Amino acid sequence: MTVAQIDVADVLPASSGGLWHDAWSRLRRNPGAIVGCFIVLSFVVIAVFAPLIAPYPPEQVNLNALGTSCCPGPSAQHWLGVDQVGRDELSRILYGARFSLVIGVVAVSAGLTLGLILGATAGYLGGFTDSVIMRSMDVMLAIPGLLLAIGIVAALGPGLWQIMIAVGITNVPVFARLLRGSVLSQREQDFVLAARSVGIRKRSILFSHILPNSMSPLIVGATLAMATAIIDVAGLGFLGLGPQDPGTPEWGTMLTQVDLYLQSAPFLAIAPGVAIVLLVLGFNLIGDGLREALDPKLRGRTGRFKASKSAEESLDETRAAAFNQESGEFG
Amino acid sequence: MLRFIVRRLLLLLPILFGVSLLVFIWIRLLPGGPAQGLLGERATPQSIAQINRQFGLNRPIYVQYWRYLDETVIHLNLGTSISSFRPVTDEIRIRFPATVELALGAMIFAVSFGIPLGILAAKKYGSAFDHGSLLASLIGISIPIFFLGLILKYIFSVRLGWLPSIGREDVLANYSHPTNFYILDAIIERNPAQLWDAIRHLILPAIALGSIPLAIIARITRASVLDVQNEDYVRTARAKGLPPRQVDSRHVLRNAMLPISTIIGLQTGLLLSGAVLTETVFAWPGIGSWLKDAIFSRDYPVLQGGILFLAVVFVVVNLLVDISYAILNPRIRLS
Amino acid sequence: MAGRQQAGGRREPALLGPKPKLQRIIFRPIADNAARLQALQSGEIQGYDLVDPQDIGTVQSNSNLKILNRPAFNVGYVGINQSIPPMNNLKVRQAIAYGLDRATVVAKFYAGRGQVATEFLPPSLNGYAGKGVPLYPFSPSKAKALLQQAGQTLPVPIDLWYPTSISRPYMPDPQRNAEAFAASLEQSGFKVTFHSAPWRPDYLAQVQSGKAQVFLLGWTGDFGDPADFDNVHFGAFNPMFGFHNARLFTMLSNADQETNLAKRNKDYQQAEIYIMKFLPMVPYVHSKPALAFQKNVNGYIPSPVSLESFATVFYGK
Repeated sequence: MTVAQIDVADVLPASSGGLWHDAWSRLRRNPGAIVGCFIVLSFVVIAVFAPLIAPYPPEQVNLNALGTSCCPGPSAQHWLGVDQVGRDELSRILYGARFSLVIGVVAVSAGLTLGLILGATAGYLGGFTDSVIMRSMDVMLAIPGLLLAIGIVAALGPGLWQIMIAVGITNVPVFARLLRGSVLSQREQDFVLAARSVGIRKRSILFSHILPNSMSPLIVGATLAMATAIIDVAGLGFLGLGPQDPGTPEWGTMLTQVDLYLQSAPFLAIAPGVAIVLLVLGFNLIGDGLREALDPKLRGRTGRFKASKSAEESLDETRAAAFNQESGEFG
Repeated sequence: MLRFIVRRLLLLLPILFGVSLLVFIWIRLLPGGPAQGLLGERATPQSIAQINRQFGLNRPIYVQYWRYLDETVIHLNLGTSISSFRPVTDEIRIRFPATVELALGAMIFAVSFGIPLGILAAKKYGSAFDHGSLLASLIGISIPIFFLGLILKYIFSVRLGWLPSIGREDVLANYSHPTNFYILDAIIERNPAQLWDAIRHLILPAIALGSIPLAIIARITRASVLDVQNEDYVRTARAKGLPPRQVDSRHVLRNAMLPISTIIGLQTGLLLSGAVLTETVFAWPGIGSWLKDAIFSRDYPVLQGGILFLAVVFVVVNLLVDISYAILNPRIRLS
Repeated sequence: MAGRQQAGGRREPALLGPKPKLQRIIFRPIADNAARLQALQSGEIQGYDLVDPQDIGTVQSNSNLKILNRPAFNVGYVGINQSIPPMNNLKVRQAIAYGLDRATVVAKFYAGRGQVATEFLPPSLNGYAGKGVPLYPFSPSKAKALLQQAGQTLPVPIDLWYPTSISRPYMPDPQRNAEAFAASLEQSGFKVTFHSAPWRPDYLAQVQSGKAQVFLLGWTGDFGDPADFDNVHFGAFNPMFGFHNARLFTMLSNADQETNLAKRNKDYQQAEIYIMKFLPMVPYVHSKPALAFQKNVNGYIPSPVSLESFATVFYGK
């Protein structure tokens, strides 16, 4: 190969078809990702078909199922036992999947959309717009995640859609940064310069060239953001900031009153928690697998700290590593 | 390096301004308006008028913002708590050490177990232990802190009775607390029983809070060590015939520590967020539980002051992390 | 109230009465129910007040601990604020009374230590009527019929308030009671919206200023006279209940001024019957609060009004 040929091959990103095909085969071989997909799909099926699968309505109070104290444990009629007012725990867990998944999807989608717009704009337009947008994102990131969500809920009041908004807003700076980084790294590449020299407008370049190439970090980010969103929603529910109807079968809210019954009915604490762990683990496994499948192609062969990087760039890369918890596996 | 630090410092100011602006706007979004929000149920027309005058709520918005900055930054007056009637700054002074002690405990736990685990996994790259550790760290970041706290409470407190379930010290204790850092106080007072009491109460909450940082640190350590191990200079060192132990300590670990130490600093955000949940589960009298109670009692001065304070702490810690990064990274230190 | 306040008592030789056997007593507030139990189990404390019903079994099955009972001297009730329509309509209030499954709640939630309250006064108190008080056994159909007679369109919306972060002797888990009652109310033609607030200051402030339409509350007697129950609550206009009923006010005022004990009791019995016809609230439980102690703590005499002397307490075997 001549030098000229090597240069071209290095500059042009791999075509979309090749990248996805390659990533997919890598993903398929990753046992963790397969397990993760299985878990998430199971929960999605459970959430969608909950009315058909659940043995009882989740909010149906049934005091006759109780003894004189709290809560009989698992039995033939109630596989996971009943809660303190006699509702079937299994049905509540099954319906709880709906809350976690729906809230997660809505919150992440909202955060992603807004973050995408802001980040792409900042990255592509640069200059003053970039500074303003990025400083605002920094300010939002200056307040630690859950606290920001708590602050938003404190202003909006507790409730279901309020925590959706709060968690969605906390996602915005993360995606904004992601997009901006991706746009910045592609902006100066030859294919973009070539397109501009031919006269293609900025906006078309953005939509038809840059954004598709940003897909992979976005997908990884979205999957991991789902995992975080589900945990944060449960956390807000645990603090009592979620749906205010105490009968709501949301996993975090179900854990709130459990402290009183820890001695007499520990399974009431275990069931919702295990559900949260499983679902979040599923998303984390998928996200991890996706990152491995997609990232090495994008990053290049090894993750060296190039000597020519400025101090800020090195630090930002480390910060990005912190955000993405890179595994550092080698391709 | 000085330029780097100065640049970072300059970046700090607009962010702090931004945060104060955010909180300022937030107060004005509160139901019932800012005066009502700051006074709560005890609002009388006279006190509302007084708040209006004090904060200049009838003046143009920029005057209000200036007044607000004046009050909070220059006079360090964060208002008075609606529930406890004490100045917010007083409450912070009492409660912040509790949260710091918890966060430090969690960090110590995470680092002491995370780094060795990560190194071990890197050394046994590809083995069952390695895969197991990866899975374990994934599970670790999937467990909600409050759930882990409840489980720990159930196993070690309720079932086994080995450790206390709530609070920072024994119910009947009557120790003196000059600094309000209980472990430090015990050392100052030279009281081993007090020290043991403080440690006993810190163990479970620290483990619960530190679980996620532990998983992350283990992972980053493993990644970092792996990265460094394959660098050219390490291969050279090995090829030169240096004993493996020397290669490890002089080349691999020292260079691997750089991203690891940065990550440790960046966990502060996680720790502050997680503190709210951990303190609720273990009735730990820190800033986290204080803020949570403030939400339900709609104690807006507390919320405003507390969030502002924590944001400032978070920003400052990030700055310190950046500076330490500059010091540790020879490329920057010598530039 | 997880404060660090500590009250203490030291044996004072100069005081009257039986000589206290203990040298020092320390009182400590512990906010967390589970923590109180654990502190007792681990030996950190020698006794605590207000054991949760679900923990009583745990204490009794522990050979090192024991339960002492305080006689029932309280009432838990569902309060109704007649200043918020349609609560001013008697038939609606009756529908609420018929729509609460009080028997099941008391049977299941109080570890067998509660008895269904048929009137406001606890049975041990003078003036307790017993017979003659209108009863309202749980009947969703009757409740619905009454609502329709009152001209209401079903389901009737109702705002049910309950406190959080608190445990009272008559209401160990307010949310649990609220959820159970809401379920039976919804069977009876109501549509329940929950409202909750921390006990102090918000819940009490809301309820006592008359902002809550229907709320869970109760009362533990301070001294052994019905005036402490009836007159305090219904003797004059009370924003919590929001009604002006001159007949009831006069009845109670006269009863209180009556010095002849037999006549006084009769007067209060009449008042009790009238109260249960008027239904400013629906009482549901009188509970026996429990104290838990280490086995070797003897001589503690529980009192219904919680006026308990530590002078007689000593450590036995």
